[in-house]
Amino acid sequence: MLSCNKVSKLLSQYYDGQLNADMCKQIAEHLDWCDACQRELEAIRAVSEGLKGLCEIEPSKEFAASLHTRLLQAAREKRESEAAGAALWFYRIPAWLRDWRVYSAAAACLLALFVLGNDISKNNYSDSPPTAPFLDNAQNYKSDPAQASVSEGAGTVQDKSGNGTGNNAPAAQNTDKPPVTGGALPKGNPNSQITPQTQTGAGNGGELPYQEPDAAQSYPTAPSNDTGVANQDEEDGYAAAALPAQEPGTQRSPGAAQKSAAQTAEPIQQPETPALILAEPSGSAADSALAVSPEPAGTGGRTGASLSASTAPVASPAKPSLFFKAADSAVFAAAEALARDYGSVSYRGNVMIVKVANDKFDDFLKALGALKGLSPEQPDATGLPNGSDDDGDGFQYVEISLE
Amino acid sequence: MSRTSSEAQLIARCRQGDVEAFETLIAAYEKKVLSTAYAMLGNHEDASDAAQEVFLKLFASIDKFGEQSSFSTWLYRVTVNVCYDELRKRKYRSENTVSLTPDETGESAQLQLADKNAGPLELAEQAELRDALRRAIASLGEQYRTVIILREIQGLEYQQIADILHCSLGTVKSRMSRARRMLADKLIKNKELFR
Repeated sequence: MLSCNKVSKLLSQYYDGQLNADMCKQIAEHLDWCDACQRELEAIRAVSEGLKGLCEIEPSKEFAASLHTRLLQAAREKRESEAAGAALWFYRIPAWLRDWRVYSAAAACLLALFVLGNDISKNNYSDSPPTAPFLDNAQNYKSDPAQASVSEGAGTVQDKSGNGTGNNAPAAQNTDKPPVTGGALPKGNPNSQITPQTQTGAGNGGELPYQEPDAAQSYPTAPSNDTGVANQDEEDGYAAAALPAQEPGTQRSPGAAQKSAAQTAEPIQQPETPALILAEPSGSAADSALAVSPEPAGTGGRTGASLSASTAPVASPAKPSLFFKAADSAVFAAAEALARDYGSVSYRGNVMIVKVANDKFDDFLKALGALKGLSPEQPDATGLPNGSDDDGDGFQYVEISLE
Repeated sequence: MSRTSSEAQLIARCRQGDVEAFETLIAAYEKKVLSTAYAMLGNHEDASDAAQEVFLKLFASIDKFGEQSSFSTWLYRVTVNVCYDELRKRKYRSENTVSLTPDETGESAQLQLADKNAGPLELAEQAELRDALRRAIASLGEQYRTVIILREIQGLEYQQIADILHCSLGTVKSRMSRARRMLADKLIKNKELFR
């Protein structure tokens, strides 16, 4: 049963037929016994009836004549203003802008810029920050840097094909310090960085940050590493691989390493001491990202098992780190070239990690110091100790990033 | 609201500056605009001026008239806005409306002519009621006055009123209900009108 208050609010719509059948029925039932609401409805009806036809006015002849005159005048003024506006609009433009030759010249410039831009973009490297100048897609890597092919799509260390498709090289893990910050490489992503010496045409399991269009011109040749061993590291059983992600402060546990997507799973042997976990050479030279020799037993746990990037955290004592920031890609490339002269290079994301033997470290630092555009930097905020810690393994580390 | 083809043709000609086409187009709306303006402004002269201004505005901007609404909706919208402008310009006050004094040369005479069968007493009563109604309408606020005029005098549907006033259907219903109750309250005070 509706209340009078409710009915009162709905009477106007009830009168206009704006309510549904059910509501109309309820209101009608209410009006049957409620005199007050009935009177209110009658008042609404009286008002409505009384307003019908109220204020009706017939337009007078004077009204029509006056309106006609004003409309003609308005039409004439409209035509004149449109004509004047069009002319005025054109002549408001400065004379030199009205000259067709200006637009022809502008069109020619735009066309030239477009063609030039197209041409430049074709020669551009990937958009990712440059890391190693000649780092090539692992699959295309050749022993001779000159043979290193440049392929577009060499991406960042964070390989897009994280599932390892096309990147079938096993991920090598550097169990030595510095440990890799978490997320440097996606899980399952094999090492995305290979030293040029890790040739054999093996893929590194990951796209390289960028590629040198002419590796022979830019990259130092591998120092007498024609055996397929990339560098001194490899001779020692190390692979200059990008370090896998790891928990800060945790001991790198090769046992926790995961297989790269490109490799069949094989448990990683626990190294007795922090050491590089070598990527097991795959059957195909073109597949292996790291042509490293298996670590002999007892040498610190270097195994040939392949690891994904996200394996085996390594703890390192926190010591002052050596970080450098390159002002631009040219400086970065120069720093990499120097690094390869003195040691081995790997990448953690866009950060170059240089591993240099102790006896060459001072010279390396001097060479870096002479490089213009390279400035010392603060350690990153990952919390993981990186840098030139000397843990007794005979090597020190430097990290170089691009501004 | 659909637009008739003839109306569409007239509008197309109006866009070309055809005055005759425009006058044909507005012929069916002249009385509506005049009566709306009269109800809003309360006197003949103001209503006539406002109506001419409405038609001149429509003619000047006919080429900008889009397809979003019907011509009548657009026409009423311009009419209401012109009346609002006039009310604000002249600081029109409901208690001082000229409608307090009925225009003897206008509506009252028309009523007498329209209802020839009504006796003098009935005509007087009707005239008195209409005067009371005009006073009551003039005493309403602009928003309530507008919806009452568009609904009760022009007979427009709720949705079209909402389109004209750029408000929701619920707002129109609410204002209608409120406006009618206020008018009824004012008229109930004149009990002799409700026997």
